[in-house]
Amino acid sequence: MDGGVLIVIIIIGVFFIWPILKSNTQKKEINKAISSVSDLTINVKVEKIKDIQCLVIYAKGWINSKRNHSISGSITLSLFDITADPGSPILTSAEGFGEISYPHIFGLAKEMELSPDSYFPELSKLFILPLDILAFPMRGHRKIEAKVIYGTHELEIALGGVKDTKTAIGVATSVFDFEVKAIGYREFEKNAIDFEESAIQLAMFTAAIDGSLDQNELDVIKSWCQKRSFFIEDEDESEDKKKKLTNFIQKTYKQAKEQKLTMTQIMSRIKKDLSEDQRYKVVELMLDVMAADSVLDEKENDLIEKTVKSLNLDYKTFKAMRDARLSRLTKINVADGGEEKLFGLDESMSNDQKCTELRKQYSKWSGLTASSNKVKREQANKMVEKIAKLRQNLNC
Amino acid sequence: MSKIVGIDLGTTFSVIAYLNDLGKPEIAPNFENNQKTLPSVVYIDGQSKKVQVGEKALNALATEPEKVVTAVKKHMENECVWSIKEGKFIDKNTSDVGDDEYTPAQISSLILKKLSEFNEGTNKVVVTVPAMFAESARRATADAVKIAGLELVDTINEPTAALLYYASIPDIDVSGKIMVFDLGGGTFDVSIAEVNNNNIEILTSRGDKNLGGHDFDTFIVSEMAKGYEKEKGKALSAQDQRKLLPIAEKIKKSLSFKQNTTEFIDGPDGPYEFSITREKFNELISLKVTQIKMLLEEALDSKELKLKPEDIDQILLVGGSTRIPEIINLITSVMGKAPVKGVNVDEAVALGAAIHAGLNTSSSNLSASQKKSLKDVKLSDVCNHYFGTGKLEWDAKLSKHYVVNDVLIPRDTKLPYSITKPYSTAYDGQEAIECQVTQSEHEETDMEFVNIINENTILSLPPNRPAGQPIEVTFTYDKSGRMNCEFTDINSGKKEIVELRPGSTLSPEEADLDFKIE
Repeated sequence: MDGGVLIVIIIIGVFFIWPILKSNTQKKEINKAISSVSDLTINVKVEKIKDIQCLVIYAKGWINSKRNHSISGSITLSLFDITADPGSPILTSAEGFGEISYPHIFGLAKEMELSPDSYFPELSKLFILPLDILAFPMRGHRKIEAKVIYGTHELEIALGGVKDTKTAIGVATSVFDFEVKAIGYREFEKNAIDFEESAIQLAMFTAAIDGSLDQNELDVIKSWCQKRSFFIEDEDESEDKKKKLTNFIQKTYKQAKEQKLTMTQIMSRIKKDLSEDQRYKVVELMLDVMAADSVLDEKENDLIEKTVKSLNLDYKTFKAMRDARLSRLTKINVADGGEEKLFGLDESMSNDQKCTELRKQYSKWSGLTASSNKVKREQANKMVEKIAKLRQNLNC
Repeated sequence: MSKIVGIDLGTTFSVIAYLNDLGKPEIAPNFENNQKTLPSVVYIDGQSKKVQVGEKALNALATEPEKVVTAVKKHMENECVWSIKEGKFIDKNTSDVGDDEYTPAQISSLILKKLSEFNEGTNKVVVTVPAMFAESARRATADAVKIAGLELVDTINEPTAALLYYASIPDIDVSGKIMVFDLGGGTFDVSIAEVNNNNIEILTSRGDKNLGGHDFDTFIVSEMAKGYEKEKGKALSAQDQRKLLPIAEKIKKSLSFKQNTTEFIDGPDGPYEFSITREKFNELISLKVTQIKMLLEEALDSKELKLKPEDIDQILLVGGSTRIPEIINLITSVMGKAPVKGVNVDEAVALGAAIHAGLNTSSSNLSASQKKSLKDVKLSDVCNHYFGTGKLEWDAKLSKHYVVNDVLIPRDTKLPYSITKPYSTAYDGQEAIECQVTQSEHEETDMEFVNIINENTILSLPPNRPAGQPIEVTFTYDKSGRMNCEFTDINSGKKEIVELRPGSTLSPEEADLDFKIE
């Protein structure tokens, strides 16, 4: 099994329907009050719910059965990117968020009872969905159309529209502007090349920075590339990918040996073309290359730190990624002063803050001195000693 | 005499104590030399299988260091064995233990067996362990008891045992917030407790399993080796250096009373006069002292307590290394007050263990005086580690799933404690769940920084079910530190139970080893 267990946060579409009216007197009073209610309209907002960025679809107005009696009905939501003509569907990889016939296309459906005189009061939350389950076609500023269709219980959406028009009763649409940060699915192919080449270049740069490029470091890069082609189902395509990546590794290796790799060029390509998660993955590969020979070299560490800074990545996340690898190293070659960086200390911190941070680091590393893994245990003992030395130097 | 005895199984020496008929804890001395402590040193001759424990084994260190095992307690949590052939602890590569290899539990059992001879009729024991002892080390201690042919009634944390003893002394008024500073031969623990008459409530414990007087001895030995090489031009071998450990200990002790000391040491190129000042010794141990200071600060600053030094009413000392002046200076400077002096720091843990043994003895086996002395004694302890399980989580930054540590029982949780947390299956058709139990000293999500103390238990699930099936995980931690972890598939009712610290896990065959002690 890949992992243990998983907490799944299920956000259920919530909707409020005005209660079905019971007495005639009540009916008259309410009919008067709702005579101004128009047909169903929707409005889309991006809101943070329990720390999760969500799309919230608000509804207002009549959701009439257009019959004299209540029926068991269905209400659906679909999203479409209409920035360019023709538009593109919004995709999803999350279970339960796709259309029935096309599960990779986003589409939600809920069952509900429709009566002749039921409606949504203002600010009714019709659907709430986490943004990270959606895949947009392109990055950047997009115009998205949200479409809510209600109808009989046979209503089914397919490719963003209604499969059988006879099952639909009413529809409401809303167009909203949205800034897509992640790489769009239509950009994947070009982006994949940008990502792979930049990662290989930076990894090679890391490997070469200490003046020698060894086989262990090269093996880490090769293994990373192998994983990139592993998930391509078509064998020919997979082989083709392997060949291309091998050629690129050879080319980059030569450039690195001849010191022809330039950081400026690599970084500007990353900044222009790579998404945030891809940037972290590049840094992850650099860290793996650094750890390949079980030794942390100061120059390697400095290069990775600069990369993280230049790519505006979160330092805390990076430090956690690096710490996980530090625990498996056998040697750390950093000069006095360089060690402060290893424990997340920087010049902006006061002496007291540094002492407190070192104490936290001590607690983290001393726990590993009991690890059943000998390499980890020994590395933890070294780290504990380094922390104590730093605390002494800082007169904590 | 109480049927159950208390044993302080220490790194450098061990002590056995019992509750006398008057209800007072008392040390059972070594009948051979009337000493109250037994050096935790074992001599094993591979060929003759001759085994000696204590003083005789310690004396053999000077002549046959390769046959003498010292500080075995420091190895209790490691997967290693004492190799007769190599004369040192080596990593255990397979689950089998060779004929010429002994596990730390087997060696500790020899010490326990010897100690049990000091108190006739000993069969049930309470054994003390460092507060920060990891799960594996506690299990190894239970194994040692079983191999020694004894029955483990309970384990108790060393600082807690010491506090039980201090609170029982009529001449000392122990009340309010008490800090127990326990620096022994191999481990350091600091605990803070709330004491009100006989009611002892441990609030927090911090510590380091690899920090104690034995480390200080090895620093002195390294200094001796450096001096020897400088003067004689020849390096001392590892075994030559082990021979020097008793001399180093003697030097350390004398530097607690003198500003400098001199000893003659033997080496391959003849004797060498080694001199050292207290100032130099303080310099040698300074990194360890810094670590102790961090742990003191950590204990005060623990999540729930957030104490200032002035909130502590008394500081009690435990362990021989608390006699070192630099340690007293550290405590006084950090805490703003001097610790309480005047109690035998070497015996407090065993005496407290004897009281705990009394508390675990059925009242029909206690005399009226014993019952009276134990009346109203109440003790509550906390969990000293974080316990959790692995769960799959989505990392939005890296855009991938990965396994993180999810804490169920936080450190310093008052015992007993039980918690149930809901989870669900991650994949369609998921047919198994790995029932991981993790332990850490730090509130940690990164699996690289936790120790997985159970990972081989698999909960099988029915096939062909969609993802999101509810799973419940219940961790229950009792007062004696026994933990039960239940992983339940709600819909099928299937359940896996992981029991931790139920005592020894050795089979009768494994426990039935033939050691002849001379």
